Amino acid sequence: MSELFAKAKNLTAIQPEHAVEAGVDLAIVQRVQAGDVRAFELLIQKYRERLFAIIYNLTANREDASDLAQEAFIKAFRSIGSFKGDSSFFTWLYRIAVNASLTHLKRNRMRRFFSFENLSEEVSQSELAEVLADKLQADKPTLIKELQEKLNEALQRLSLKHRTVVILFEIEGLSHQEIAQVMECSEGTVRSRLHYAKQQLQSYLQDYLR
Amino acid sequence: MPEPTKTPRKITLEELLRLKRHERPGPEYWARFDRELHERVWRALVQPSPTPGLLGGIFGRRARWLAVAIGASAALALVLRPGQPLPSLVVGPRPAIVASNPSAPAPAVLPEAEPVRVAMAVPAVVKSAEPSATDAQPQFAVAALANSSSPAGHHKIPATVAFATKPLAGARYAADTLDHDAFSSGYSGSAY
Repeated sequence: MSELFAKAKNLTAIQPEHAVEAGVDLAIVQRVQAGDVRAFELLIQKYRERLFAIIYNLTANREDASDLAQEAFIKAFRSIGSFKGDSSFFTWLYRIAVNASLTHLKRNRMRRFFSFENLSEEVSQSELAEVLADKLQADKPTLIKELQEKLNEALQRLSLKHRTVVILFEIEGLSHQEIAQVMECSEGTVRSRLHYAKQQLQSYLQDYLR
Repeated sequence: MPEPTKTPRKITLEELLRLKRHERPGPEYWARFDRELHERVWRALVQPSPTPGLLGGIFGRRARWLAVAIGASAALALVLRPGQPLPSLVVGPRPAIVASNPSAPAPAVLPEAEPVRVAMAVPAVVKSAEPSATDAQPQFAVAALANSSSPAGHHKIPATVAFATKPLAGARYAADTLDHDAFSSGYSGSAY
């Protein structure tokens, strides 16, 4: 077990709080590789919501996200034998999910429609919603519904590369280094894409940001 | 003295984006997700793996062909009647895993619409109940062979929720609002 944590600590790209998590994941992966395929269930339970969220935000389609998330887990399951632990399991898994999403988006580029997930009740109770409703002199439920549409539209207007960076950084909370591992590019590229993407989003969403 | 007017605070882009963390499905969604995923994982155990590795080791090529032969014989026995000429075997286009009750007398086979078309059947490792730590060894059941030409190497389970493939009235199309130049430049054959 200490060897696993040592390996996890060597994954310097990951945030410190993820290092312990990475060690636990490595232990589970090694069990799966040794033939305990049911251990993979632990990884599914741990990452299914995050994987769904990434894919949903990339595709803006709830049904596609469900299908693609399952596909990503299957792909990970099939190729787990080749996972060496050079990166953390979750960046490896996220990479599979992002690539599956991008392949799907490219294949279905002209035949897409949005299918939004429901926003949780917390949003309408939040201080942010109060401020926005006050600022825009709008009815809160209508405002939140409209805001959700506008947010998703704005994200979809970004190119796939820029959308991915924004989703991984701002919504999923990954570090620049982790995103670079997922997207197989340099950290500098991640920063510049993020900067450009946020500039674009500022202009698309300016009505809410004044 | 007049009260100072309250200036609403400025909202940041980051705050708006963090709202998307609240777009999450409920617990009932995850029950269905888990069920569908389990079915796919079990199917993945018997499908030819695109890359060798763990699965190739568990189910080697020889074992797979033996399984195909056994399953095909069982399917033929169930479909053919005495005196009926042999039909041409056609690989069924739709895969399915039939979870069989271990105590059932015969494995279940998905019926085909045309009587001359017989699905190539492959024994699949399935679970007849939700997995638990004390489960016995999985039972074999006859299942239809997946179309191996599928791009992703697997098929969708017949979904209980229809995946819309036709234009829906009132649907918002991404093509209506997308910046096509940005979209087309965002993907150039490799991921990034």
